[in-house]
Amino acid sequence: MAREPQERDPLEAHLDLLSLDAARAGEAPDEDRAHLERCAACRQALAEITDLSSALRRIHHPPFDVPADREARILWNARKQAVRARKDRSGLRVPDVAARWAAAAVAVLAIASFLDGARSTQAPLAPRQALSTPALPADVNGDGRIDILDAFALARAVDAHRASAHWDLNRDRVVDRADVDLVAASAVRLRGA
Amino acid sequence: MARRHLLHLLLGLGLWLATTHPVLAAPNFVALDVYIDSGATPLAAYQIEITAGPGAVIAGVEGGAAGPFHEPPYYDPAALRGGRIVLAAFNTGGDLPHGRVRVATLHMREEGPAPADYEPRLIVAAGADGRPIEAKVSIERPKGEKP
Repeated sequence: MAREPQERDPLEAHLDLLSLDAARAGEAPDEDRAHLERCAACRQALAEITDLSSALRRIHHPPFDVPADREARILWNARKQAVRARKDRSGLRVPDVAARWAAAAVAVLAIASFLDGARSTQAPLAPRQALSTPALPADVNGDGRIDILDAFALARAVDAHRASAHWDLNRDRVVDRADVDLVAASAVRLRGA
Repeated sequence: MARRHLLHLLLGLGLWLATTHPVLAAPNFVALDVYIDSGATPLAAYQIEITAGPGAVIAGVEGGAAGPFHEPPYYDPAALRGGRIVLAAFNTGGDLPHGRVRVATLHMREEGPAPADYEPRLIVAAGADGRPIEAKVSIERPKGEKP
């Protein structure tokens, strides 16, 4: 007698697009495959992605064929990098304006006496004077150009929890590796192509 | 007799076109290893530009040797299927490599009978403190790849 698939726990999260694509390519981990057996919604989403992929392959004819082994290596590296970027969420949370003012009103005397008595050696990495009105918003190190050194400088500040809120480039209220990635993407963008 | 000579001539012409014409000649996929040599100074960040000669287009980008630069570098996806690309990466960790390091592998599609030329250019390299350092960039075809 065939076993009935277990019902999906209502609190169990559905598979995201990345995981569904991996399942479409036959590269899903065991836990994702087990989830698909339990979740009808994800099976339907997988079927829709598979149909879309087939339809795109029919209408799109690339100018050349990439050998299967190279294509697999490139896709594997791309997925791994995407998973790493998704999981890497260390950063400094930027409080909203109202919460910042409220905290300052309650603790202003205590903070003033603390700062006067113990000057910290780890000042936040604030933008240089030239960047108070930056001509290049991603020029973190203030050398007048955007390159990987800007992303490197911001990454070091993020890792040390010293990044100024000024570098919340994607306006998600968090200064983290997503902002670093934006700076790096700007550095490698082809210009004049 | 004349017909046989004409047939031979046509066959020879066809063979010549198949091996030399850029459309008819089979494309060749090659993997190019990209190296940066920072000498005795540990390498923490780099940015380079690679320009391919005629008949070569970029098919993909892969990370370098195991270690701080094992992950694929940053690059503009618009560079794929083109002939110019900027690669960049950094590592904020402490165990940084020095000397000659393979930082990336470029997958290229070459057309034509002769291998394409490539021009690498170092834009910037930096040490752990973020300050620029002297370094050299070079490209190699791995052993075993078709010439």
